[in-house]
Order: sequence, then structure tokens, then C-alpha cells
Amino acid sequence: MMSALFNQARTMLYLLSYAVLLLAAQSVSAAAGDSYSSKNGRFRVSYQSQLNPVVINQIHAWQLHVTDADGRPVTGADIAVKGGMPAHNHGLATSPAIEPGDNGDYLLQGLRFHMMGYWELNLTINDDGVRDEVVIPLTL
Amino acid sequence: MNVNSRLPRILKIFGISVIALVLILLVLAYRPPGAWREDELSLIRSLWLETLSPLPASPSNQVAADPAAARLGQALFFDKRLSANGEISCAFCHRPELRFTDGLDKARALGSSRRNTPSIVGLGWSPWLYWDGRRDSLWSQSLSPLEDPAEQGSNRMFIVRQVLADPEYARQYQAIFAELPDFSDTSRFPLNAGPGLDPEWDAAWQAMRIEDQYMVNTVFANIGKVIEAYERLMVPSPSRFDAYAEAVLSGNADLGREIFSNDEIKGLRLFMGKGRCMECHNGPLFTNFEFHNTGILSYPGDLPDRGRIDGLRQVRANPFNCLGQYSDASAGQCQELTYARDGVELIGALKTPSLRNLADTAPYMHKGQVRTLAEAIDHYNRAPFAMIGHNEAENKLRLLPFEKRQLEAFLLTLDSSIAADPRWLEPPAKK
Repeated sequence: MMSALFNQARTMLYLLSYAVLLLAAQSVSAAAGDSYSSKNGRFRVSYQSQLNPVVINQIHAWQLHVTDADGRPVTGADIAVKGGMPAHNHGLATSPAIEPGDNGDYLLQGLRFHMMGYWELNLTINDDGVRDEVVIPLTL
Repeated sequence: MNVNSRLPRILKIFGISVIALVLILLVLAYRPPGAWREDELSLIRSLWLETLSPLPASPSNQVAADPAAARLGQALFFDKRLSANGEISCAFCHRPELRFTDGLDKARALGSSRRNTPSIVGLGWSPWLYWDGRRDSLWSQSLSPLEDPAEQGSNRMFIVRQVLADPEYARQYQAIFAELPDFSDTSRFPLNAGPGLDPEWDAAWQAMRIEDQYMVNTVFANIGKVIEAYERLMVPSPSRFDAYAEAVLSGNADLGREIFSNDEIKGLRLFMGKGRCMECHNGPLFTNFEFHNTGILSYPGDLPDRGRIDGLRQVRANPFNCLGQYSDASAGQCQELTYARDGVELIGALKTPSLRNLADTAPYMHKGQVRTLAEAIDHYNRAPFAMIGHNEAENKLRLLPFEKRQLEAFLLTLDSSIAADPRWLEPPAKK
């Protein structure tokens, strides 16, 4: 009897913490079109998803726009993409790739998110030796 | 009064207050089953069949949505002549009455296969076919059993001749593809030829001219493409769960309680929460069609299954893949194949199956190692170490016995018939 009660209480706590986490995650997720500053402030990145809203289990592309700290477009930079769910310690279901365009635009192809919850996309940008990382948070 | 008699009284008061506090907390925390929070309702919505996206296009197959192709595909799906012994059709293992599975642990046709026969219901949404995703379309998948010695055991030269030798099939083929290749010259097109394990058939194939091989492969691929057009019709109809979802999402909790028992409601809550099932079994088809190592043990006497790590290598090398010369897609339409991921996590990883129609599709897992739903749930409760690779579901769920029963009760509410007209579920009527 006590163990069942204990279990139920624990389940409640679990659900409660889950809800808190969910709310916390939602508050940091931002709408597409917002821009994100890199860790050391060298770049800013905004994106427009081909899927709006972004949903799970569908492969799609994002249009990225990269500028420097002063808002000037950064064209021709090397951008490496990684991503995953920090809470689940796993990466992306696909291996997306960047196709450079003009005027600070880049096409990020091959994104598919296979789980609901909080994701992070990590872009490592290298523009003529200036290197910085941008984290784009996303809650599905 | 001495100290000795007072001490137990203090303990008693303390004990009563603790119990009272726990009771108050429980009453405050208690939600009757079926009183869903907003975030839970949005999870329920995400599983509801009504929210399923339209059937995705199959860009590598230009006849995927052609009803004439589906009719020819249906006939071929049930045609036993497309096998080495004239007795085995696709439907031999993919039995419509068992939601296109065979009820066996591992498939048995001409020989014994390595894996469990998957259902084809809902596979039009799956970017990958087979447990290890070694094919990237239903049409390229459907070609493999025809030549697999353990399945239909034939060869592509035999198959294309067999199909085009049937006047009715030839007429339909010509109407669909606007051409009718002629394989009557046996000096160019031997009776049996095809790459593979049979040394005679393989030698005959290697001796053929490249352009003749191309001609045969084109018809062979087209046979797969009409079978895909047929298989894409197999979509699930709404289950009791979907009726429940519709009720609670329209705010009708009372109707919900008429559709679902208390156990089923609690099972749904476990499915979305403590059971962590939705980490992989998500979306209206209850699968992310992705590859995961969940520590399912090897079948007795078998080596552990290497899974996706081999499947990825095979799909990239397959001449009938989305990027190959028999595909109707442009390179830009082959997103899944182009951006498929590598990595050690693919070792021992196998594709998440749908959970719709579990009652008819036992036994479960890639080799049918798990005979019952209770065993399957118990597996995730125990979370054993993987024999190879790493078990992603390594945290024991710690479901109590009654919770396991509730989860199972919920899973059984996902059964439903196939949404296709019943005449698609049997061989076409002879004209």
C-alpha cells in the first residue's frame, strides 16, 4: 500500500517536473525569423523553415541568413551543422548539409526531427578564420 | 508519567501528521483519469489519425498514384507465378487478413528468412523499408523478395518475361508505361538470368549486353513501381483510440469515458508519460520510422543483428535506389538518401514499427523474439544491455504490474481495419 502511494506521489512529481521542464523549454524556443547571436558575438543567424510550423518526422530545409555583429551579410563562410536533444543525449536523425548562396544566405538541407521535445541546432561558422558557434533552440 | 510512556505518544502524533500530510498532498495532486492537461491534449492530438499528413509523394516512382498501376500491382501482389516454384506470391507472407503479416517469428517461404515479416499498412509514409532500411522506396523493396532464394527465389529475367507473357498484364503494362519491350529473342534474353547467388543465372546475366540488362532492369523496376502503387493504398482506418481522441479534443470527456475504460485512459497516460513510448512511437502512425537500438536480444542461435549500420551501406549501393538510373526522381528529390546519417549509434539499430494493429501482428520485433505485448512492455521495463551497440532505452521504466496491464490495454485500442475497399485485400476478380 505504502509503496503504491509512494509511487503515485513520485509519478506526480515526475509529471510536475516534466511540465516545468516543458514550460521552461517553451520559453526559450523562439519563432522562426528571430535571430540568434553566436557565443562570442561574432555572428548573428536567422532562419526561415520550409515547414511552418516545424513538425516531427518530415525532412525539410531551412533558409539561413548570417550577418556579422554589425548586421553586414556574411557570404561564403564554412558552416558545420550538428544538433540533437541535450536531455536525451542523442543527435539528429539525419546528416544535414549547407549549400552556400548569395548575400549571407545559406540553404540548410536534410533536417528531420524524430522526437518531440527540446532540440538544439549547433552551427559552427568559420569566416576567413573568424570562428564562432550559434545555438538555435527549438521545441517541437 | 515517565519519559518512556511519553516518547511513543510523540512518535504517534508525528506519524499521524506525516500520514495526514501525505493524504492531503495526494488529494491535491489527484486528477481523475481523463481530465487531461493542455500539454497532454496536444500530445493526444499529435497521435490522432485525423492529424496524419497526406500520403507523401514517391518522387522516384512516377506511377505511384496511378489507379491503373495499382490494379496491375494488386494482380502481381497475389500472383504465385512470380516465384521459382510457382506457389509463392507477395501475399504468401504479407497476408491481408493479418494486416499483411504472417503470424510467424521469422518469415518462411522457399526458405527461412532472417527477419520478421513487417506489415505494409501505412508504409507509404516511411522513408525507409525493411527493419534495417536497406531500401528507400516500396518499389525497390518489392523487387528483393522476387530474387531472394529464401523468398520467391526467382530471377529478374524470368519475372519480366512471366509478366509480359500474360496478355492481360502486357495490355495493362503498355497502357501504363506506353511501351512493350520484346524479350522473345532468347539469344539476347535467356530464360533465366539475374545477378545473385545462383551461379548459372548470374553467369547468364553477366553475359548479357549492358543495354539489354538495362531493358530488363527497367521492366523489373516498373513491376516494383506498380506494386508500390498498390501497397500505398494500405492505410489504417480510425481506431477506438482515434474516437477517444476526437471526443476529448472536442471537450467531451463524458463521451471519452464511454469509449475508453479507466485502464485504457490510464494506459494512455502512461504511454505519453512514464512509459516514454512517444520518444519513438510518435505521430499518428505511432512511429518515427527511425532506427534505434533498444537492446532486443538476439534470436536463439543467431548472431546479434547489425541492423541499420549494414542497411545504410546496402541502400546506398542499391541500383534501384532513389538516386539510381531506374528512379524517376531528380537528385534534389532524394533528400532522405542524400542526407542519411552514419555513426556508431546505427549498430544494432532497427526501424521503429507502427503500433497500430498489434492484435493481428504478433509476434513482435525484428526476429519475432517477443511473442506477446506483455513481454514487449516487460522488455522496456527491464532495459537489458544491448549485445552489440548501445541500448538507447537503457533506463528501466519501473512500471508496476498494474501499470503494465494498463499500458497493454491502451495499446490494444489502436487496432482498426485497413481503410482500403475490401476488394483490394484479395486477388482481383478474373476477367
